[in-house]
Amino acid sequence: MIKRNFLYCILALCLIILTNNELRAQGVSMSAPQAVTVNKPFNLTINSEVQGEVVFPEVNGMEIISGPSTMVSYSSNNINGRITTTSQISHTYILVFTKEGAYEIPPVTIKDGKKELKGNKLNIQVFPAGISNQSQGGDGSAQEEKNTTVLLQQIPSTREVYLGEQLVFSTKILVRERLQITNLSSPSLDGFWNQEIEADQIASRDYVNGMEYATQVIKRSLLVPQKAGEIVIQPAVMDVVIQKRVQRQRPRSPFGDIFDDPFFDSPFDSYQNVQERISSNPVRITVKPLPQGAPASFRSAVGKFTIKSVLSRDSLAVNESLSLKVTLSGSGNLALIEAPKLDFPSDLEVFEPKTSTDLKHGITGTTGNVVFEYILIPRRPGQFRIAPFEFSWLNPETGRYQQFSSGEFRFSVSGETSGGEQSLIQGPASLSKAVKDLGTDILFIKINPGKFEKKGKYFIKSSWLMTFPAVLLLLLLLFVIVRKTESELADPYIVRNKKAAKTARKRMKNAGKLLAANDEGFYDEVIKSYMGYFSDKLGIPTLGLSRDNLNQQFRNRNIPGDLISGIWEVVDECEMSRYARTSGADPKLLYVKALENLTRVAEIL
Amino acid sequence: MTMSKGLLFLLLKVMISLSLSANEQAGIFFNLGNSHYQQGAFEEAIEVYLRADSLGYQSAALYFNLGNAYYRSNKPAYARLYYERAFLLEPGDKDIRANLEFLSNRLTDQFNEVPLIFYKRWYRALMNLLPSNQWFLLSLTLFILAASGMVVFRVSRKRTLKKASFYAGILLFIFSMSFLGISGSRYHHAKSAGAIVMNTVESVRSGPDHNSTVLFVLHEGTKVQTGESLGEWIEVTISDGRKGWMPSRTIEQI
Repeated sequence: MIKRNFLYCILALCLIILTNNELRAQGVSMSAPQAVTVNKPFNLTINSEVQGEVVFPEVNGMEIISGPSTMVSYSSNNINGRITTTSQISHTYILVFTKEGAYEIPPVTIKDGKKELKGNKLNIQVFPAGISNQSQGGDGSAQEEKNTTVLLQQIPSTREVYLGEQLVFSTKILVRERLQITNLSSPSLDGFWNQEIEADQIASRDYVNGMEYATQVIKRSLLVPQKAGEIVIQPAVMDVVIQKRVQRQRPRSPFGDIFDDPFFDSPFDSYQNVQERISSNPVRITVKPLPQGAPASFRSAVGKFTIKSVLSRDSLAVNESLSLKVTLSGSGNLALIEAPKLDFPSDLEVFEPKTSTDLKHGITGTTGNVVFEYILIPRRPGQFRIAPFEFSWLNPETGRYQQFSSGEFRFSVSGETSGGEQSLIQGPASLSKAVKDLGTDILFIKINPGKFEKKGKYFIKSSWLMTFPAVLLLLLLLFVIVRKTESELADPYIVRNKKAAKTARKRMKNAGKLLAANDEGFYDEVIKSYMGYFSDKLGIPTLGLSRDNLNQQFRNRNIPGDLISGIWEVVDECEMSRYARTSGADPKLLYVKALENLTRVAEIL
Repeated sequence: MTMSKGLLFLLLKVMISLSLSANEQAGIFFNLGNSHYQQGAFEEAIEVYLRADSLGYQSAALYFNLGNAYYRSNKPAYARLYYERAFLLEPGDKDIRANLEFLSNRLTDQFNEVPLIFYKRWYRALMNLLPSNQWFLLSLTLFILAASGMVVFRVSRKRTLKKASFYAGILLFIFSMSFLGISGSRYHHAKSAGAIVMNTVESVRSGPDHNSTVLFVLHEGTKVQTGESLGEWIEVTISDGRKGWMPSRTIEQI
């Protein structure tokens, strides 16, 4: 009997333990960073739903600096009158490892009265606190000591691809301190077709040269090189603002450096915002050219594909349409593949294939499918056969070309040939060619070169255009002249003035004639010509032609004295001869003198 | 054949050394090219014709023959280019028009050409009666006559003469200005004649970069109107009105 009781006790205990184990599964979890630096404190948190005393395991090389600090939060749920309360308790310890190495922290225990709950165990790697200045990843140059707070890396998924093969290109930041990114300039991805894909949503932790960084891929792209050879992607450049602690001056402590540990940083230290420009490494990608031996149907498709081709129906009537759908699925440079060229019979009207894509761009590349749809319209009844077509692509993994050959396609068309005028609806690059019958060939060359004109010599665009305003100017000038002439003609005085010499000359000529004829009117004519001239030229009316008046005028006009006396001599002689009938002087001489005077005066006036 | 070619070239060199005017040189090249063509040596013919062209003088016949030679050498894009250039110079020439139509119908791209409105067609026909420079000279002559008419009007006394000269002057002036406008139209027409697609196949995209959607595809020999250009790209419009962007180096201006 005691044995049975004992058995039952053990069973009960087992049950309890088992249930406890189940309870253990619920609600006690321990978490801490997986990798820490030696002598650098870190947090370890224990979450549980049960309150109780925490028994923290002892670990060699690990010291508890403080803890546990406990936080309790309650929440209650009221569902249909049933109230359930749950509590969440977290205990936080600050620990530090004094020795490098790999540690396993055994599960922590929480005692709750009789119940004992155990958490999970943790593995922590402790790294040495080294600061070494090696170059970080890729082909970049050595970084300066102070630039280890922030790192920027450009990482390709592979450095060697075929022409047309996809690769994933990530831009990653690694930070050790809080910072703000003010600007990120990415290099131009010349020579690549690129498609941006999802970057990391959350940060993770990474170790570089013994230092712990928070890392995140901030930009990720799919790249497909468009030319073979070496392509160097330039570094990305990032501007950041880092909050740097400015430590207060501390007196040198006799206890050594322990007080310089950042653990002792007081929150009253001041911060300083420092701007820095961080460059990443450049990246060299080797683009292998397409291997030799590409089949004839190869047209830059690279990846892993499968193809299907299907005709939408196999019997129809004339002028009805059917479609040939070629579906290309898989992963690779699907976005860049052109519709395969099919050889259609000439009496089948074909339209430019319609391409519809259903693609996803992700971290594994571009996947999905592309459907090329060829719309066909038969224009005559009968049997049609479309020859099989081939499609080939390069598998980048094997470096070999793969080919697909469709079967032939057959369909039958019923009905009558549409006769008469056919309006051929043509697309912009239809495979059928409409040929108008204009004769069978081009006309022969021209034998006569015609006139060779200078190229590009257009009068309208040259200085010739100036001739128009020139003519206009000339016209204006002419008008002005006309105006002047007319106004002159309008004024009798000006007219006479201008004509004075002419009139006088005419009169003298007349006088000459009279002289030759021995006419006595000769003297009269000479006087008339003189007086007439002076009257016209000087603008004096005949009545005002007194000797005094004339002399005045002569002096005003600067006529030399001898000329004046000469003039009066002639006039007096003529007067005398006219009235006295005695010829004092030879009339011929008189005539000559008269002419001389007149000429001289005319020059002056 | 080679002998005569060699002799001809020698003759050419001699004549050139006699420093003939560029005009005459062009004529000589033209004839030389013709003889090559007649012998079936189309490539040589093209070379010689192009030498003539490079002298800075042009003639419709030269371009026409170049078009023929390119057609025979199986370069339809260049053939079209030169036929179009010839057509610009002599739009009334039936031979040029015939060959141009013949070639256009043999090209891959066929379009439903949007026909011009009737008054535009008439204006085009009028404009093509004379080359731009001749319209200009005509306009200038009429302008001078108009000016003289105005002078006569100003100067004459008789009423009938005054009236007649006034109205004549106005009329002549109006004609002169219209002819000047036509001269300008022809110049403008020549400058915006368009371009020909030279590449065998080229995609026309929705925007000036290689990642834009392909709107449609053009083949060599197609004529396009050109618009703005941006970097290496240029905007083109095809005959049925559609627009898109192509790399500038794939087309050549007429």
